Amino acid sequence: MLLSPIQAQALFESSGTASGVSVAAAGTANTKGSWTTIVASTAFDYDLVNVVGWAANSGNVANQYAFDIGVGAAASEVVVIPNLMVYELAGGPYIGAKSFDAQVPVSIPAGSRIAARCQSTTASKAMRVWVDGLRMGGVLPGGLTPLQSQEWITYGVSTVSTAGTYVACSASGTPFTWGSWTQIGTTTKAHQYIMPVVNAYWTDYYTYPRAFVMYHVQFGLGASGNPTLLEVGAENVLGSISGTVYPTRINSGVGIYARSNNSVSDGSAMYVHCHCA
Amino acid sequence: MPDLWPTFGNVFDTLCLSNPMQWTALNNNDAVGTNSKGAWQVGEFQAGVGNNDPTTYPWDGFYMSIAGGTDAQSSRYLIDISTSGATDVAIANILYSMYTGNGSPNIGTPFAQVGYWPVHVPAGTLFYARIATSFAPPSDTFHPVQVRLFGVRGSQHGDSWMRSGRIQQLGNTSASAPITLTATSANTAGSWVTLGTTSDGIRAVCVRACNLTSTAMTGARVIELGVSSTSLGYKWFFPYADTMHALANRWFPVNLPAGVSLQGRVTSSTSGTTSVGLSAFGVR
Repeated sequence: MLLSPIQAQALFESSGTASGVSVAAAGTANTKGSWTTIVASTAFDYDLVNVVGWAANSGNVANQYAFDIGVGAAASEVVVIPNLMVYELAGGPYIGAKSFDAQVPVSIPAGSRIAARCQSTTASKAMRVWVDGLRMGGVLPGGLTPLQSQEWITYGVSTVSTAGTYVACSASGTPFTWGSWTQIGTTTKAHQYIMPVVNAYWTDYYTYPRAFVMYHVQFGLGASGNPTLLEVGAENVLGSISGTVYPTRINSGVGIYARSNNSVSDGSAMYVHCHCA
Repeated sequence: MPDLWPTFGNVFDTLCLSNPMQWTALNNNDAVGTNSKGAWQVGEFQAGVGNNDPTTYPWDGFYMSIAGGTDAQSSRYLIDISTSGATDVAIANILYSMYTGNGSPNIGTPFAQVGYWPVHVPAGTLFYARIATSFAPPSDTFHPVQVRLFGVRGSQHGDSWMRSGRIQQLGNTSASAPITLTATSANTAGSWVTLGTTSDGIRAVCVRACNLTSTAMTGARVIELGVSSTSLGYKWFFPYADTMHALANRWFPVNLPAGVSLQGRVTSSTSGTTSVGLSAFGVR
């Protein structure tokens, strides 16, 4: 087996306090703010990073964030993972839609500065970012080669509105009837990884409860969505479904599509996008 | 290792089922008390149809979705998954908490969680599941949960890191009193707590956390793994941010031999005493 060398060489370091690092959006809505240092200098080569972004704000206010992870000295940052999304939903406490959490393969050399910046649907709002890095001995999950920087591309996120792509369920009333395939992007290069992300749509939990409703989201290629990539089960999820990177082979110029259904087929929707490398 | 990831032309490698293996009303009706497991219930690809459905292709692992049932009672659960309904328990005592909140409209809101389990499953496998709850049946209502398995062939964790894993539970056999990590002041790690002892060598550790109260948690937490009160360096950061739902699996590449006592501790971003319920698993 290939297992032991990976763990034997694994290293780990993390950033910030137990609340992560505060990153503020620009004074203009839907505009990226300044870069904030997350890790001043990485102690070793990273093959994989755990990235968590969360909206630390309490209160009954809907807000959306798109944040970038970058590498480089101040004023020379290069985006390595663009437009990771965090949805902060209205509805008071107890809602869970305030974080993004993923393990992302990306190569970051020792001695690098890691920084983050964000934009928000509300000017000057701040979110918090946590990054920890792992060295996996140069062998990534799936046996694939480590990525070089700048290889992650986001499809389906509008930086104009700081939102994913709206993918609606069927409104037929017949449970689990699929909605239409909706294009969330066209690949601009060949990819070896895809990280699908699904976020809740509803913005006011008080008036639009989704308790006991189960959602599925499928990702596919081409206008017919055939073949299916992935199906996500998401009962009552008011947050994002993210965090898994799938090894894949997608050629350049291929349309990525998604569709959804739910157990009541009420026409409600999820916001969907993906990150590819 | 391209042979491990066969391509199908211009398509994705990953395959998932178009329907999940599911139990929509997994209950402990026939259990005899708190933390007592109910009977095994067989999974179906079309719940309620009455089929005993086997898997149709080999899985490298599966995503497990757990959501509360419709009785909307606060409870913690331990869930067993088996491929035989008897002796071959694939994963034992998966911790899930459902707290229904202390104010309208959140009562009756059983948040779902989705976590990955790196268990190789041959085609033709039947799945069974059973639960225990922190409530003692039948003195209370039955508290069913909805459990679904989404089989995956090929995934981030599907092969060289973890594959064909046997899941070893490292601790926690109580739904009502899971392993508890406590911090007493902001940004200061609490005491080390034993999570369990490895019975075999393991290659990765999974931790699951839950809220132990019926009110929303604020701020964020960092769970750290250690041995002999020395940190292994692995940390799991997660924000509560005014939420109260349980947290899904986080896997760490930890290579430990048999007989090692694995520990955990928590750091909180908030002041005062805060606690997190935890269960831990290893892959061997």
